[in-house]
Amino acid sequence: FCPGCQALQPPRPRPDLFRLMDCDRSFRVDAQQLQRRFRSLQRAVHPDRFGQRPPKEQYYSEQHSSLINKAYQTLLNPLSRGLYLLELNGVEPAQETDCDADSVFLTEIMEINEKLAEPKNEDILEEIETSIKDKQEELTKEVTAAFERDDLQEAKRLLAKMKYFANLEDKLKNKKIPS
Amino acid sequence: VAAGDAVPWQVVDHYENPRNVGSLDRNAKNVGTGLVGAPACGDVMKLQVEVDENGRIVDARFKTFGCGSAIASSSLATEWVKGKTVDEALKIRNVDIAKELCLPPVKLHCSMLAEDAIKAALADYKLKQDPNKEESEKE
Repeated sequence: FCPGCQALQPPRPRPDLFRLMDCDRSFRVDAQQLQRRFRSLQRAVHPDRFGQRPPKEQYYSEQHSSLINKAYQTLLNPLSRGLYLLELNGVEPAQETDCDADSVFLTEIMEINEKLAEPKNEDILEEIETSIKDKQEELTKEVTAAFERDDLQEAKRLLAKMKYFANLEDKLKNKKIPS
Repeated sequence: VAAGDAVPWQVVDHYENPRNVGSLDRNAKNVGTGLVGAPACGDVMKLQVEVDENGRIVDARFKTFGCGSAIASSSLATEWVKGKTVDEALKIRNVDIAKELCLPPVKLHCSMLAEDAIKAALADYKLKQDPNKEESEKE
């Protein structure tokens, strides 16, 4: 906001999402603090509060609000947070194909996918879901450790694994929704 | 939906009528299995080839979990390798697959994944034919 007339200003180009949400640039975040910051920011800039303001400010409000949503979602989810941190550190996202070196891991992913593709009952789905959740939690711990010792290449490798599991989580969600 | 975002009919065709979905016996000596993944999007692709005594690919199967373009690329790959010799199949390039399927730029990596899957399957087959040769080449 402009200190003189209190009019809403446009958001900065290419903002640092961590700074925006008042968090340290680290893989560890305090989820509650993040949520509090999210709410307080939205209270200040949400378009609902700018209905009576000039169109330019209404437009800026939409931009701010949308940006804050994006920042919140990015930092809340460990996978997106990790990938964003890599990006900030100039580490290119993984582009090359995973091959034979990871064949044990890829076989596991393949098998879970095949299980999901079969018509199954609720219990089996619950079992798979729990197993994936456990794996994601473990991977998140390993990613935290990697970032802490500044091993960005290892973090990148682990985040790639998390991506495969995240896709499986999405598929599970879709399976649970009655069609 | 903008016209530029339309899914190419070739991709839809492979998605709705996939060719050669399934598995071959990975323990058979004349079967090569390639298992590859795309870390950026989390797609996984398995491609298998069965090779006869003359070095010609007589059967191929695939299983892909990912986007329509990845499924179409691997489906097309299994169609193309059938009837080719191992060396001929190694010449299949991702750009040819992408062109045939009219893949948009954002999906080009899917055709690359299919090319890598073909190469991985053929490398696996070759290794099974002569594991000793691989050992001596390393030294």
